[in-house]
Amino acid sequence: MAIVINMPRLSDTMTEGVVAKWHVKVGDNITEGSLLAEIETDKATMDFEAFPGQEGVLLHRGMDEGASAPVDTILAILGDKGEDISGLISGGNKSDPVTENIEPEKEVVSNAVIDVQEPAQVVDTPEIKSIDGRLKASHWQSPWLMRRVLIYLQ
Amino acid sequence: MAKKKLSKEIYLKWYEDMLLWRKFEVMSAGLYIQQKIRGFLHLYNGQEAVLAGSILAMEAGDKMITAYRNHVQPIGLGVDPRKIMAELMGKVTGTSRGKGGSMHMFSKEHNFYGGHGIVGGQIPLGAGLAFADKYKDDNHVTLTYMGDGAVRQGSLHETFNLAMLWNLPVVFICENNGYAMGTSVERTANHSEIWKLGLGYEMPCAAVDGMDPAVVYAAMQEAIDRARSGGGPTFLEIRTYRYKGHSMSDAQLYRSKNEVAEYQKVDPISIVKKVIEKKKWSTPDELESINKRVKSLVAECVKYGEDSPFPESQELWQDVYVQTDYPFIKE
Repeated sequence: MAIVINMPRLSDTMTEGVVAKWHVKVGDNITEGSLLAEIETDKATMDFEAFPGQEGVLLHRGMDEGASAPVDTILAILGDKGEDISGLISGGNKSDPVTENIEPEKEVVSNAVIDVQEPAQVVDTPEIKSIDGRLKASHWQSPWLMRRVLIYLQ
Repeated sequence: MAKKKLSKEIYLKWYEDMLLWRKFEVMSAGLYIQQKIRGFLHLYNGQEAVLAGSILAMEAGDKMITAYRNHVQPIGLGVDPRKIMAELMGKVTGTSRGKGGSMHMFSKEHNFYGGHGIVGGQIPLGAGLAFADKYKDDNHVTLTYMGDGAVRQGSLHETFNLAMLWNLPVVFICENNGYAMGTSVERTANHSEIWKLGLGYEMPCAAVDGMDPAVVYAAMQEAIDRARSGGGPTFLEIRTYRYKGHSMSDAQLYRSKNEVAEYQKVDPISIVKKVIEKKKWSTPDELESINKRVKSLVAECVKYGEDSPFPESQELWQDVYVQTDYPFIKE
């Protein structure tokens, strides 16, 4: 069964990567930990190794050295020797053995937007009286004390 | 408590535990690359012997606190690894309900007090935990871990002083993996003998080889016994190594691949495996079945994480204050 390896996101800010150097060629046997390529990111050039489950013969290299591609595009395809992967090369990203299905990440953002209809209500504490029209910093402050302080400052 | 005899059972447990922790971390890295885990990720690969040796020396009720390289410590203390993976993936079934992530693992039940991002911030907290135990006459010991970067923080000195003054039941452990992010130990001070930081406080202190759990265990048992019997704190500098970068976005330009390869020759898992093989405590088939068991557990963790839901938006307002009807939290 063919395994597609996509351009990895090697850092949280990475959007695309350049294959600085391939360390494997079509026909090589890949196992967990095999150094696949050196990928140049926005920050530095990092080694990219095969992860658990990414095993097989390298059937296809998605891009040449020096080429740049966005994260999540096809970087390499592994599989059994002689396996037909023509469908995958043209198509999009497919299954990854590490996780069963890749569902397009349901934008959790829409659920996570807090339903703020109005700004959060500031609870009115009855004791606060504003001496000079300014709000108190905290309802712990005694108005009596504030009055004394303000009078002193004058 | 008398030193335990390092039997076949202990070695096989060490092998299986350390292999689980290693494979768990490798899998987490793979998930991070696929963006199933986001944020930061600090891996423990190579440092497993420190945890394995420490746990053997702990007794029920003893506490552990560490910094942010903290995925496997709770697993070692008994937390369900599936819940750790779920937490890494930000799911509500995680140990912090998906709101803590990689750097904030906790378990009240298993006495694991985190999971802290501020460098050196956990040091005074650890002494505080020990203070509470002493105050309550609980006869427990607190293990307070820190890195080689954290020992340069003032919080270490303030904590050491008070811990010695009040004779707290605490063991301070520096997991010296050679690099504070990208800065080598040689470059963070005028000398590299971190254990000597205890001398100024007349605290018993020593450097320990951290690649062999048996060596770690011996040192930890002595330190824990001292703390429990009222002998006060100990500072152990446990010399270990991390095979991966500081975190996932570390290009590791500060060290050569040869150096990493040299340290891989003393991989703690290999050290334990060699003892098992030499003493004929297991057959290759049995070791292979341990391997398979570990692999399958890790896959189970991933599946659990994937199948779990993300937290609902209301979760944002939970666990902010202890008081649930705090006036400034919107319903």
